[in-house]
Amino acid sequence: MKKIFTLVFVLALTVMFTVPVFAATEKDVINRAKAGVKVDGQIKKVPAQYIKLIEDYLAANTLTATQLGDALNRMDDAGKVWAETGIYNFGELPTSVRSQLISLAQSAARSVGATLNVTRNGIRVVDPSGRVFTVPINSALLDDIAPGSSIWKQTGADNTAEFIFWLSLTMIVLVVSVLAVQKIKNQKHESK
Amino acid sequence: MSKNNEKIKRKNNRWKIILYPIVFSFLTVMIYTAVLAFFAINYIEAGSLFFSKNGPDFGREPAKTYTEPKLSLGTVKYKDIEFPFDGDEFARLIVGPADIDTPVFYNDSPKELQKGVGTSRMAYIPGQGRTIVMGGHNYGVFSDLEKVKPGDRIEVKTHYGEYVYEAAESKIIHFEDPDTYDLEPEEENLILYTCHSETMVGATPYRLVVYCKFISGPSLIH
Repeated sequence: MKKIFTLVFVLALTVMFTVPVFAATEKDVINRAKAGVKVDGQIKKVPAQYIKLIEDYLAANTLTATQLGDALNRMDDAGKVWAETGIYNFGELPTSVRSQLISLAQSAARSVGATLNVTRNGIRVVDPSGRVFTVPINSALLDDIAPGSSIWKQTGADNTAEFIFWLSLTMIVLVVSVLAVQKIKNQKHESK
Repeated sequence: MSKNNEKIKRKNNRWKIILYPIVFSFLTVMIYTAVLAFFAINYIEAGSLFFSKNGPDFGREPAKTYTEPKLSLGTVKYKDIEFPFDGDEFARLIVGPADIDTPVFYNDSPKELQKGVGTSRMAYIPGQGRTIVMGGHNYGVFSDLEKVKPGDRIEVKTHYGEYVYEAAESKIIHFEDPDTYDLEPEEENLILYTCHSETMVGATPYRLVVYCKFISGPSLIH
């Protein structure tokens, strides 16, 4: 009886202390992304736009600990693949390695229910409800983030009909003035 | 007719031959743009699909998720809120001193800015403990933004909580100046902005920006 009780107690303790280790959280995923990859003695940071994409995705979607754990594993795998090359710049990686990294990113996206597409213009992630998250890039180089639009949008008179109206009116006044001056000149010459 | 008059007439005709086509072409474009743009935009967008690498996005109609908030303190879980899609009306912005009481939309494309205040997707939404950037037209919702003074109260009501901010500083900035905002700090703060132009005509590179510090509101947690 004592042996059974001890065994059950030990098993319970084991479960209690091991479950938290495997239960990944959203913060773990974000922190892992922010930590970057150590390549050739340097830390290769993940561009801020990708971190924002991950944050937005996690804010908009509720994921299970298993999904988050899978995503973390794929991120670890991608980090290892890159680190093993010893090449810091993404653009200098062999095509096969770049393709492998993109595949791992797509696999990570699938593990959280999303689809990920990489084109020359950007990365596009679509979640199960159809919400789209994008990061524009300049080329096939995933770390060549396109500057995109400024955070400060045009919120002024240049977009208004008022601007078009005043510009047209100015042009009309200019033309009428020129014609009027010509007519006066003609009349003066004719009267001479 | 004298030779002089003939010379003057030929000279005038030369000017007319050059000037008239330019002016009338310009006026025609302006008139067609103003009158037909509203109708032609659908055909232009359809035509652009021929050149698009992605398929047509029939998307979803923007939703109005804003309702009067029930919470003003504490925490709210992400899974308990309806995180906004692009174009969704998800909040209301109230700035008493500037007589602003306007809907807030997620994303800040021209579509959202025409309807009210747009929230930049490069930044965050209230409750995320980060920088929130909201823009509005200077001839519309933010026409009196310059009346906001340090210490003024700004409220952002969302369906998941009520947020209060306090204006700290206003300034005119150049839109290409990268030091005018910081999205990195993990501290909730709000930036309101609009275009700044003395003449109200034409494009302007300047923005009137109001920086606001966080006072109260529930935190969004996973």
